[in-house]
Amino acid sequence: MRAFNLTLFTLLAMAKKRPWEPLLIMLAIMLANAGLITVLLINEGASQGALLQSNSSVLSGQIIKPSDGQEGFTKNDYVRLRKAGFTSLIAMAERQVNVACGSDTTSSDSDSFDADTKSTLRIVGVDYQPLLGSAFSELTASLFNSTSTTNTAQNQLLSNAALIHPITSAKLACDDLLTIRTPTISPPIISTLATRTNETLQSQKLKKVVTTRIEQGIMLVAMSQFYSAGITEESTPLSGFVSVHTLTAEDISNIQTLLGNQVVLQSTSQQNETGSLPQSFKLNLWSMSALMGVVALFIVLNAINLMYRTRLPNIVRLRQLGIGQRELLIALYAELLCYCIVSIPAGMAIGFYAASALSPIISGTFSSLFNAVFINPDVNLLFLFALTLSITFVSLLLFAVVPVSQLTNALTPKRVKSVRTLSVRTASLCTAAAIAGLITIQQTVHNTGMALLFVAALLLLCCSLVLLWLPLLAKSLAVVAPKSWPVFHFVMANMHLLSGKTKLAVCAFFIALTANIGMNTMTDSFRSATEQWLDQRLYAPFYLYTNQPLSTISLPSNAQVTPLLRAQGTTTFQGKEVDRVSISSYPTHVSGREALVVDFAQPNAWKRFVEGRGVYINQQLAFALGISVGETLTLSNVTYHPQNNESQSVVKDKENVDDIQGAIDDIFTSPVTWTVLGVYPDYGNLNGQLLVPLPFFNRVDTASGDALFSGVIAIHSSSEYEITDTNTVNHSVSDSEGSTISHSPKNTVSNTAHESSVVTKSDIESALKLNTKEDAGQLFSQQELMALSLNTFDKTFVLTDGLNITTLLVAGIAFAVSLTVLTLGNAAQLSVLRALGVSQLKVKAVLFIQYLLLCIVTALLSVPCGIYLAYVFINLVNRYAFNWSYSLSINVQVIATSVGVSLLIISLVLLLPLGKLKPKIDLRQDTQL
Amino acid sequence: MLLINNLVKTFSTDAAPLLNNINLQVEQGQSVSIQGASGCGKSTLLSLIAGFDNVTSGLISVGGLQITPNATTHGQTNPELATPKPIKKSARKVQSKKALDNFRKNHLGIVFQSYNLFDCFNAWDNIAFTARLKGNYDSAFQRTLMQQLNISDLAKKPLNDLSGGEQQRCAIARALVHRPSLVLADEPTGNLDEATSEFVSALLFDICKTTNTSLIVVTHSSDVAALADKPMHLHQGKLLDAKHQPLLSV
Repeated sequence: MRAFNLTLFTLLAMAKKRPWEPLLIMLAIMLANAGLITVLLINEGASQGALLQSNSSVLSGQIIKPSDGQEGFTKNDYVRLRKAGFTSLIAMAERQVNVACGSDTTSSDSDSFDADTKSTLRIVGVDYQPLLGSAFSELTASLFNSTSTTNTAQNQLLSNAALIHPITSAKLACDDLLTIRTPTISPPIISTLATRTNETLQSQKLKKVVTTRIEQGIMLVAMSQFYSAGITEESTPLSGFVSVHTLTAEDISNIQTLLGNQVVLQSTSQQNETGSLPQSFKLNLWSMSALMGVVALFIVLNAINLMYRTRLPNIVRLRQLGIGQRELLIALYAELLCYCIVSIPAGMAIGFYAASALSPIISGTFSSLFNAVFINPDVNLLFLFALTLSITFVSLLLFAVVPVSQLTNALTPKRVKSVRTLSVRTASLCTAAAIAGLITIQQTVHNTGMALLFVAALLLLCCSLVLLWLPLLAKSLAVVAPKSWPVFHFVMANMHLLSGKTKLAVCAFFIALTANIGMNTMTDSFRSATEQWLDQRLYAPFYLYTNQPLSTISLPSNAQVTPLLRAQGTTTFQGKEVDRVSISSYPTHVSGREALVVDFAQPNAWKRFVEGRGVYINQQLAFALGISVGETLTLSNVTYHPQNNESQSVVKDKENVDDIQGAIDDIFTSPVTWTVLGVYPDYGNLNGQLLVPLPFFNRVDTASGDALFSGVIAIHSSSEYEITDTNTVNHSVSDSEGSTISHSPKNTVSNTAHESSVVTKSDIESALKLNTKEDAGQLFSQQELMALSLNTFDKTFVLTDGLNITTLLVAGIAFAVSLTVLTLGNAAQLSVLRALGVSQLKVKAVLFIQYLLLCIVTALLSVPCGIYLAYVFINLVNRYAFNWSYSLSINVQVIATSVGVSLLIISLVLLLPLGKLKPKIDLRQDTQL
Repeated sequence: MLLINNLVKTFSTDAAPLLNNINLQVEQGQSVSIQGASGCGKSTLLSLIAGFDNVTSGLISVGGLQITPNATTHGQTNPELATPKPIKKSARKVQSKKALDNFRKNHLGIVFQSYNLFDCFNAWDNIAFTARLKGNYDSAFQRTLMQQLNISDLAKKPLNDLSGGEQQRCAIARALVHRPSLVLADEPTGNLDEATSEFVSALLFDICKTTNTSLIVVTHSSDVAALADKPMHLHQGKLLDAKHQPLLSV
């Protein structure tokens, strides 16, 4: 024990003497743990958000609504029902309000309530009292961190609160207070800016409470808050009663008897639309964090190697003085443990700060892209510390075993071996063998796990190749460097030596840069593929996204429409089954034909498609089923698509769901067998999709058309509308049925009619506003939709880009710090240079050039590896993880930017130590061992 | 060639000067050895001559070039010594560091105790470095020099393959190959065995003599010191003629 203590004390004294080396180790451990904690927290936040989102909504279940023609219920109706024993019913009332952040509306002037600071939400007032007796009481206790379990206390807390969904909260982007503005005269249920311009507004301030137990787009408030600011039961009657228990037919009958009116029982269920996109997001994050982990590991090992290299003489002295190998080994690991214990809390703190700083961005990304929830996770700090400490220390134990063993075995100081450089021929042969091996292994990859392993293998193999080629290139540079410039020649020759000493730092930098180039090239390829695809796919000048039923939408007389109808079913091919495949309509007109981008297609595919003799399927479905063009798939269990949300609910209110399903069954006589005519790219969609000609849906009636309507309509001018074969097909539900889409009276719907006037956005907007009382949806021009899509695309990669740059930054800094540490170790030689008459500035300049050249050579080697990595990402990782791929496009500018940024980072980091470097000129220089 | 006039070097204001009123004149081609106890200031004196460190007071001039531009003279000037040619006053501040660098590059050869060769070069490139730096690289002269030092066959060998004696001979060659006017050698044989030490020192003195290069050697070895034209002894900050201080040189 005494020997161990003495050894550890000596090691720590060495660390104190040369603090840069242990500091580099601690910095690397800290950064690695910061990255790990950030990713852990983000993933945990996503998981906890998904878990919470999976909980049912407070308002889910059965809702009793008044039947058609009735305005609503009264408080007396509610009292009557409760007195009759229907205590599980909860009264609710709803209207639409404009909501702003609390701080935005300090002025009572209505003008200050501008469009930028408000959102329109559905405010739902409920009677909290009966809810508090249910499972909702646990929720309220957790929401307010209240230990009080009394209903009265909870009721008091809820009376001034507005409960909203996290996604709604993210969209509002408010702090604690929300302000609701209500017109003092407010007879209509829906109040919009247009209808109350001249009205005075009354504001209510409510405390924002975020919970996933509330549906999106809703603000839940106490009934007392709902009926305030001039809102009365007369103007806004109760809209329904939520039942926390299942009601039987007898219950409904009794309720109708008690109320003296017909009621409609509406079932609500919450759709969890998170799908698998958050999974891909998490996979992305884990991949990036794994990359960061590997880079950090290389950095730590590099720092350990550097430290042990300079310590060798002292360690040898310890061994020569009788310290045993075992004691030395334990002491070395104990020292590493000390560094871990010191730096991990700092890393955790940075990780927490980073996760906290990133929360708004992640929350926004989650809500806007995935329609999913991200929450700040609740974690156990001690557990997290133990976990990160274990991971870090075990990794160090495993990976530092070689240098530690070498060190403890040394009994005599051995001189630094000269760098052994293989011949170009040998290196070329090794490279060829490695590439051949990689290509062979690549053929065996057939799932996501193997694809990711292949990425790891690729990076490690490329590292080996870099270690093989870097000394060769450095030596070549030293050979070609003019000897008449002795200082430059010295620098080049020294770079050759340095390439041997900085192996691990070079690897870390190389991996980070290769991954950066790979990711950026992949993203750029994806972006350009998506842009081209969108450019071709968006054939109509305008697109309407609406929640209204298809049958209620009115458009100008000179507009022709192509609605997107869709159903959902199960596809089968050779025993493989894919559920929830979207069956989407596709127009058969010329624009549609030109817009359809295909990867593979049969001869005469379009003609056969128009004739209904086959379908196009997306890449995702083709990959998932393993089906090729010309083969036949089977479709079964076809139903309307669950994401046709709003129009679907409208239908459910008014029509018989069974009738709609019957109509769908009539179209898709189950099972349907279809030939795959072509495979098309469908970027951004994780699910399978198949396209059937739009006329295929023509047989459905209005109600079924509404149920199948996805909410998207392409709008052309009549003059732009051309068809493929006027005699054989109709182009939309409206065209065939003649009634689904209504037009102005003077307008006639005709495929062949070519009207001279061109439809404009204002025409469409006017028609939509005039003919609909509710929000008709959003109208986008082709350019707007394109910009929006690409903006969304860019948002998707914000986080991974951030992590990617951070990794590069960390690797770059570590590389530069390693070089600086080596420079300090090499001070003796620099001093000799100075002693021989080389000026300070020249020494600094040539050192800078030397390091930069080393980086440039590494960067040059990383370019081909990065491109190959991008190819692997696109054709293996994307292929198996997301079931899509696209062509690789090599953008010189993207690669040059990656390389340029990395070199800039290193240059900047190097300037600081080089600026301060002042080699001491001394006659008594000690050469390093 | 070398002129030191009333040189004083103090490391702290309240301490006694390490070098106190040193005066020395070395002629072209003349060799001087300096002996003395450890810590007496021998290497400091060489550092001051090489311009590595600043003098507290006094003047040092090599080949007419004053290398102590900012020093002030506190002591009395030795009237027997020639007055050095001062660097132009206007250029002093701007060019002082550059001038010192140029002085070392063009006029000085240094032999370090630890050889201090570049491990990234082979023997030939190590030796050629100073000549290439000065711009008077002459491969024939270098070859001759290496033959004289008996290291011709080591030219292409990596540094790590050379023994201590071989490395020191390379260091000597490097200090002479650019034909400096003055060579400073700090314990050139300190790391060598007696036989090698004698051989290397003899070579150093001989070559300097044949190339008419002035040489100042700091050494603990009386044998090495005895080879010099002007053996000196540094004692309590004073530089004394060793011929007159036989007891001190023991």
